Amino acid sequence: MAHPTAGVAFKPQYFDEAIAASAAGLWFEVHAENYMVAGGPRLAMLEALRAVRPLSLHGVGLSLGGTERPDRDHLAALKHLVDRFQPFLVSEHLAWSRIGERCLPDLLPVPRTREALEMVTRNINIVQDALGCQILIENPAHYIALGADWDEPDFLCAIARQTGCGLLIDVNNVAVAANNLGYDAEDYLAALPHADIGEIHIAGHSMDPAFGASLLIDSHDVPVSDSVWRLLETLIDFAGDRPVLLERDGNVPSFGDLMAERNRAVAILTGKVLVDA
Amino acid sequence: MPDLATFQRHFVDLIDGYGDADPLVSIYRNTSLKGALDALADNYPTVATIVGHEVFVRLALAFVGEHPPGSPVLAVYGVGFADWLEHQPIMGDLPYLSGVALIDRLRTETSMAPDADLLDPARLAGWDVEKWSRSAAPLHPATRFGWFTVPAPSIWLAHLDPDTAEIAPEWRAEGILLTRVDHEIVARRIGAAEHRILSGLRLGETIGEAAAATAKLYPHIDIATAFRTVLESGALSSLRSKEFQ
Repeated sequence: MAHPTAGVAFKPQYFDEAIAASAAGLWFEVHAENYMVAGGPRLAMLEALRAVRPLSLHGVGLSLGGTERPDRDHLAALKHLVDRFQPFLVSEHLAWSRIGERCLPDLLPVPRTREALEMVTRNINIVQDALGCQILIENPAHYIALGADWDEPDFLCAIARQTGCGLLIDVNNVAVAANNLGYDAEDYLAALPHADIGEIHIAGHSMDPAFGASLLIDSHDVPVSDSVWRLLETLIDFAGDRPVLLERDGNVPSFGDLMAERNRAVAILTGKVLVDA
Repeated sequence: MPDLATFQRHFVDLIDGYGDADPLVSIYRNTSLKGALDALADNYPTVATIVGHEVFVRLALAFVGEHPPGSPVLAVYGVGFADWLEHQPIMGDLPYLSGVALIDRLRTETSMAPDADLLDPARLAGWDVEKWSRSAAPLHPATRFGWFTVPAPSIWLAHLDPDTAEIAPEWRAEGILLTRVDHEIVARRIGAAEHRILSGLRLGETIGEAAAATAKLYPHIDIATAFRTVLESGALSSLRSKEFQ
């Protein structure tokens, strides 16, 4: 398989075209939780996809930023997927979602405090030990300013140093958070520990209907904005060639349209000028 | 900044609408709620189609409030939705709705059950009646079936066809069998005899025991035909003669 360049988030409706796609460097990412099932067509589909393309598992439910240790059953299910599908990347979020018996289907914000750093690093160590591989941690989108002992790049750097994990930098989340909390996105990218970055996400965002442009939502339901493309170029300049993943969860376009958007990321990675057909 | 556990409990309280929340907390509230509602709609598509978007959202909001997700694996969220529906006023107008919800649930279970070989009926050529009779026939892990006092199976099956305009099922008790063959889910209506045979096999009865019990309950039904339906449906994973046990 070719060296992974730019990939797309896989959806079952893309299966036939995804299998047949000939684009060099194309890879796919799936949400691990969608495949935590005992058997059947979902896993068969993933097996077929994995046979022809590099695969990344992106978790949304380990609640690494919570006070509780990662749920044993959930971690065992993730390990089962990792062992079976041998993904080239495994990632999770700097977020929490579990509290007691309840799981909120969202990525809730982590205050960047000393205690939170201890919890997050403990939980990442548990996960990496269980999986037997490094994971990447994704920076969140922000809508509310919380108490913080560190700037986020420094907090991510401390997490990486203490656990040996890598970083997944979502430049759309950077754009959204910088807009909402009023900081400079390029300064943020410059301050990241670039050598630790193992993957980059790009996606679209929308304006909040009530707050307008002052509040951007990490909606994943529109094409990537020009501002995010510029941030991707900036981050590639800082960090060099990294696997880039185009996310899209709402108003899902045709596979062809998604690939055309993905090819713009390939052009940035290879330094080529993309000419419209 | 309070300790992390206190912060997180307080944040969930704000999401749930307790306390004076920053208006921006509504973003997390909306995302959490939408995640659960979308999962319930994905997992109960026939219920959602029958009642329509507005009514489904109203029902789902009430269910999610009482039974929020307990796992990040939302593909299986909504266990108990059929039982919960049973106690809702809407059952007065749509008395088959909880049955339809249960079949939606069975379909999810069929889709996600462990993989296993299916029994190939051709392998049974040459077995004599006595060997058949003394054999156990474990169900395939993906096999699900149910019996309903209302025609929920007919109504559910009719909604598999997106062009269905009007449904006028015969108002009678009936069953449904869902199997998984080559990763395709196959659903079919079954009668009381097939349901009794499947129930017996699930409990570990031999084919002879299941046949005898079914014939006693339904003496007017052709048991051989009922067995053939079960055998050819993909419901069984193997046939084990007691001689080999």
